[in-house]
Amino acid sequence: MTHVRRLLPLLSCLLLGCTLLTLFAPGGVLRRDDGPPPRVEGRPKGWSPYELSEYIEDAQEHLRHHPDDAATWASLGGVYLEQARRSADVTYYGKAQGAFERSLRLPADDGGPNIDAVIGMGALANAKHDFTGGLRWAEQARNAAPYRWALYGVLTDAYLELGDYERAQSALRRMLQGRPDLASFTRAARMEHLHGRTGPARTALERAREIAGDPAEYAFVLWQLGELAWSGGDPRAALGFYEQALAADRTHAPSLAGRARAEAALGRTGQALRGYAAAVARSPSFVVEYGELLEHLGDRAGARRQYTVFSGQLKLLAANGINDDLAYGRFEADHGDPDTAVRHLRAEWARRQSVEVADALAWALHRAGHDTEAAGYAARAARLGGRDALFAYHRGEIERALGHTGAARAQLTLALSINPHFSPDGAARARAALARLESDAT
Amino acid sequence: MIAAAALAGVVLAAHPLGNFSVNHYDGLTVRHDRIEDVAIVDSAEIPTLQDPPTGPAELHARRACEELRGDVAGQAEGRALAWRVEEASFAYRPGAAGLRTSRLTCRLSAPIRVDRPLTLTFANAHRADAVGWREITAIGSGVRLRDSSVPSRSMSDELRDYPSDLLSSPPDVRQARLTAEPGSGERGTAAGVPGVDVITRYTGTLADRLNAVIGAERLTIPLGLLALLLSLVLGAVHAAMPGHGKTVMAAYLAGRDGRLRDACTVAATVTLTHTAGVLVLGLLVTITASVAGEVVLGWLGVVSGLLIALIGTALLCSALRSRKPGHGHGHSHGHGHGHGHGHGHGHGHGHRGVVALGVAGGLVPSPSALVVLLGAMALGRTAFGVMTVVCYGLGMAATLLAAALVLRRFRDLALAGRLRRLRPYTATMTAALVLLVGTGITVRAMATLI
Repeated sequence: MTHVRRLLPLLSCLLLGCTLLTLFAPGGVLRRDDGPPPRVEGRPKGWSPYELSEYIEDAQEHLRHHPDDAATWASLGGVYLEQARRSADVTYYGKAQGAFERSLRLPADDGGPNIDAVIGMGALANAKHDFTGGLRWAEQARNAAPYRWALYGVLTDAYLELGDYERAQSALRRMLQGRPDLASFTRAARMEHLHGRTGPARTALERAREIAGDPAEYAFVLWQLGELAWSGGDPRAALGFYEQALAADRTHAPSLAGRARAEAALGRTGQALRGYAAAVARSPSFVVEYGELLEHLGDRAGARRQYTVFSGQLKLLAANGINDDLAYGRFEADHGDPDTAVRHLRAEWARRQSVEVADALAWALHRAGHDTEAAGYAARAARLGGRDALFAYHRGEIERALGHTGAARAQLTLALSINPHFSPDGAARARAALARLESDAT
Repeated sequence: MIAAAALAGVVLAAHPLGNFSVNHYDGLTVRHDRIEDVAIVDSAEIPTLQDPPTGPAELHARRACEELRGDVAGQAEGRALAWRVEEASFAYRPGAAGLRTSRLTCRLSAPIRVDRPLTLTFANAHRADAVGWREITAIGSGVRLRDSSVPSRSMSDELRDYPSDLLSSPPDVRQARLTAEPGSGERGTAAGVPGVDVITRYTGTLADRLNAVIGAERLTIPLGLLALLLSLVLGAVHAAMPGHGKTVMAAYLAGRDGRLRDACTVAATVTLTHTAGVLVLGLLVTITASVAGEVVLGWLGVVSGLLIALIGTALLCSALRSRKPGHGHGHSHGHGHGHGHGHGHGHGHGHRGVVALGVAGGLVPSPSALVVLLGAMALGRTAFGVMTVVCYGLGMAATLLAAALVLRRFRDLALAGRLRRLRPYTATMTAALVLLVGTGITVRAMATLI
């Protein structure tokens, strides 16, 4: 008892001390060294845009005090990349690259480079259209850590863009088996669509929609559903999806453009123009599309302004050492010099043999008057059996120029049956060509 | 369309903030009769291409500023402000790849009357959907701003130089809220001086009165006396606030049997150290802009905390040693015992401890004293400013003295009762308390430095 009595003052001193320490050391001090923030593997899932920026702030703060934390540098890079994708703010590409490179310079626990940073570099290379680079990074990651599922997303994208559909399929299968999630379902949908299997593509997207974790992801999936409905020739359904996507994320630029496109198809020209203006202010990716609608409506000056923006964009890319020959060739074939288009697209074809490049090259060759060669590329564009109205229209025009009336009629009819609104000008021309073929036949 | 969509991914930043960013800056200046907004829109290459000016640049600037005016909203005490475009200019700047960027500058102004504290809100919704840097700053000119939600200085030099390190995100500030009060002083008073914190907010009104007096057009003798009195009161209040280890001195004095002489020594030391500290820091801040006041305050805090902790440790050692069996009631003369010197009274050591404690207490200059000094210096009344700082220190000393005396009385009363049993432990408890507070101050000061 006396023992206790003697200890009492010491205990009370201790208690007082603890209280004082809590008072004098405000939360900030104790919280600061709580260990690393939650890690994000590859592509973060289930973050709302707000949480995303919150995560970025936490990670930045953490790295200010622990600049040697390779894993957090890698995950910060991943979130920067995600931020770039969501906000269409390209500032974040440079930041992502810087963060990944910082992470790669720091050795991981096992002495090798940080795997998440390697995968991140691959995703960044894909985003910058360096698909060979993306492939290289993804393969490096696969050799080091074959069970890191995020790498198969990078691998699938790279193979898809390079036109190696067999390998893309097997990488995707690996990904779906390992981790069936939003990233793998949306890629599966793209693969199905490329092969013309609209039903399975929709099923995959519906599953992705069920597991979408936040408004931005939901908007992304809904936009994809809208694109699917649009390419299947149902602008009304597409409009519904785009509206839902925008209800989830009102700044989603691809959905803004999609909605404008669907409204134009439904004859609501005023709304369509306003929608496009909003979309190109948010992201300049849709200027050519906008210009084509303006041109179709007779506003040549307005169209020219949009095309100027497109050229400016390309100049900026070239200044950064990037040549997007596919986009440039497509634009030149329709609105510029077909010979230039052929030159650029041949270069692109040497790099990658995807169906998109095949179609663009075929169309450019046709515009430049080389129809026989064009027919070969048009057939390659159709090799997967995809249902693409624009491809079919291009092929129909090439067949018509070659005098293959039957094939031309079949392709043009196919184009209009897949999507009668595939392009404001193209659809009208397809109809006119078809009518001429009919009248020639009779 | 697929090609176009794919293009988005490829764009690299040519403009520091992405070549289709539209960046906004609003520099607010609150004056006593109006609020001014220097609104700058820095458009990167693509937006510049998208919206080419129609007609001559001046006309275009006018029109663009009128449009911007429509998107800017301000309220004073809930009433909408009527903005007017005072000046408009538009200029191209060379950008990447032979393209141009553009810079629109609009000077807007709206009448207000700051004759009492006025809550102002401001929001800029111009091109709200565009990606880009969004920054707002606010300063007062001839009026004082407080509780401002935005800083007083632009971190991008008004959209000329964007910081681009890996660990920062572009700011997205679209709204500001602040309170403007009548009163003079330098521009952006509250924001410009380091270390202004909770304590100044508590004593804010008093300090404001003091600043108002010092900044008066003509400094008469009664006004000067009033100012000195005010600073005395401010100092007293400041010493009574928690933190800065001043309160602990009272406890120490009480533990030392509360000799009046010791208390006076502490008071004198605190006043001297504090005055010297404020003067030196004030001089440093005025002479070199590169001295970061925050950092200096932080280090002084660390030093002061360590000093207190050291004294606490010394006290604890001697207290524990004196608590050996048979010495149970030796409290009153227990201090110096067995402390190397071995003198019965240990006065020499104790006296040095008291001085050290005083130094520790006065070492961290109080921000409000610093504000007063800087304000006086800005008005060319340096001597008067120094006088107020001295008064400030005297006020602090007075509080400490009073606290020590009260504690002494309180202790006598308390010990008369049940607490008598604790009597042998008071020395230990005091020492532990001093040590803990010292540690706490050190940790807190360190936290601001890290």
